[in-house]
Amino acid sequence: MTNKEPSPPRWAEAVLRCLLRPPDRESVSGDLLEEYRAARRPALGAVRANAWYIKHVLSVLWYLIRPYALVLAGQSILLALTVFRPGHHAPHPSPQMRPVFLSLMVKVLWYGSITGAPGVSLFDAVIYVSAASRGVQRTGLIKTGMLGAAGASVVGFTVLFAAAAFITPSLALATFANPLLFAFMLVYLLVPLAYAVLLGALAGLVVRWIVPLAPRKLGVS
Amino acid sequence: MSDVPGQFEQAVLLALIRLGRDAYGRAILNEIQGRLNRDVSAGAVYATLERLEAKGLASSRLAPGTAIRGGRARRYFMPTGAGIRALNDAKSAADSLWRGLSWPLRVRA
Repeated sequence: MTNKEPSPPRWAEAVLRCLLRPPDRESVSGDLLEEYRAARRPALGAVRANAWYIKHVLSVLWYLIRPYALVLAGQSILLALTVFRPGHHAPHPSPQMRPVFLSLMVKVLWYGSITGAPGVSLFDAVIYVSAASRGVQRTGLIKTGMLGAAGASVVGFTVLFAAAAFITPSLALATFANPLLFAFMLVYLLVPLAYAVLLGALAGLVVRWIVPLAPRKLGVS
Repeated sequence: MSDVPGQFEQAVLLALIRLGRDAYGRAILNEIQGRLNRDVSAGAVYATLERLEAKGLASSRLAPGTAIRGGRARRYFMPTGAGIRALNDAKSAADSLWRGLSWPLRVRA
């Protein structure tokens, strides 16, 4: 009987359940399923109802990672302003002129990176690990950490690309005009994404190991 | 005076009062969307409900689910005494700010 009821995409339901605290897992996913079946699917049809469901799943993810995603977004804007400003060459700290530590600090603060590549810097790593730790502490699931870190990474990279396109529109247009450049951009996106997922998993393992989920968080009030 | 809840927290608390015994996630989401006349995300509502519970302004209980929700439990929310006091404080703070002004305000050219 229940199996014949229309259902949202299974992957979206799985993602939603990964993002929820154990006491909320049944009730919140049930609320969205009820609204989907009782109101959205009959009124909107399968495609738009699925889009509605996915939008709300993403909103739950957003509220989980919001502070970390905002920090990455801010860093991405600063990075874009620094690197993509036409005719501007950002000052590279010279190790001859400064102590190495200070040089690294300046570079980290200025670029958000010591590697010069967006999305894979130490600064990014700290943010990914923080987002993942918060997620795992809430749900007790390592998958939440991976999702949280990946979500923060996607937000950071999207803002970087958008800011770069705003500052240097020819750069964005060239990406879409040249298939090779587009493929390069996709790889460029996949690298920080994989980095975030890996760090999210590692942070999840560490958090699960040193901070076992408190019994009261697992119980139902 | 307790901490005055934010505007969205007030919207959620008022939805709990309006819905009474029927205040569960889906009904709260629809009530707020109807009152604010805009799309409200589930993430915002559930994050606010969680915050209200953490602040002691709302409490919840689980009840059995129905077939349409795959048998998943419903969580019903209700405002606590502190939640109602916080709403009263918020209303009196807003009234105090508006006292002496005629509404709607007129835009000066």
